[in-house]
Amino acid sequence: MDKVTTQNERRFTVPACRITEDESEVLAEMEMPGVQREGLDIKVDGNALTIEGRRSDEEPRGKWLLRERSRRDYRKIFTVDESIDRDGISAELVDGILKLRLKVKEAAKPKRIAIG
Amino acid sequence: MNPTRRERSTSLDIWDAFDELRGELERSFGNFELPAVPGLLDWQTGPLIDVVEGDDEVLVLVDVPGVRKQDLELSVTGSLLSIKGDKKQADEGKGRKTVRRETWAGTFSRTLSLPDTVNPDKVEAMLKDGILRVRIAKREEAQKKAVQISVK
Repeated sequence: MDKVTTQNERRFTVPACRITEDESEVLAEMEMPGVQREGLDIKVDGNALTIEGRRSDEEPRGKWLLRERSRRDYRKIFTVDESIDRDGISAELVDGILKLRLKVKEAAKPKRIAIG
Repeated sequence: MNPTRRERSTSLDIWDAFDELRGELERSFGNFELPAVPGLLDWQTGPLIDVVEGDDEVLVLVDVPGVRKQDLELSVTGSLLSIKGDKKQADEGKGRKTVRRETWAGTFSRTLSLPDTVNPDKVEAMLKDGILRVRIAKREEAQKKAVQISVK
């Protein structure tokens, strides 16, 4: 049974995500109910941006009458391209939603060319 | 099959069957990794809910990320718990290009039939980290597990 247990621990829920962008930044909003600030782990490794969220709520005891919610921790891996400034990533967690802001590098922003 | 195992018949009992089925499936297919990609079938239009019956209370957990306290409305009528709310879309996305959207927004309403042992006068609700927790105490006579059997 050991093998099964390890696999269960490795399984994650992918948080529902909404991504919007404009010329200067990309905003990713991820729904992670049950995660607190301390439970968040965000890291960039090369082109991979990994977000992990550990749930802090404990499993209630008793008889389950309805069970729809996921109990797994969250994980989402984004691939970020060269236009994103690796040092300009900021995160904010409010009411179970993680807002991740990725700044677009100056060089990658569209340039307006004035006609002389 | 042990016929004494089932304690009480409630209208939610049908979910036991689903739980058992899910347990079976997880045992049978537990070794397969499900693709970790949200797809069409995962689309939600309402919050996901858990209902757990403890010894002296019934706990209802609702995932409502991004929903504010003032946008939630709870009511209990007898053993029916009604949860209404408005999950508002964050304004920030307006005027920007949406690249991907898996989240849902809008009003929702769900009514749950709880065991008839609950006491509608003792309800507590708390909203934290995007989870709404509603605790409904059971009536005192229902908390005691002893059953009297009359001998003829």
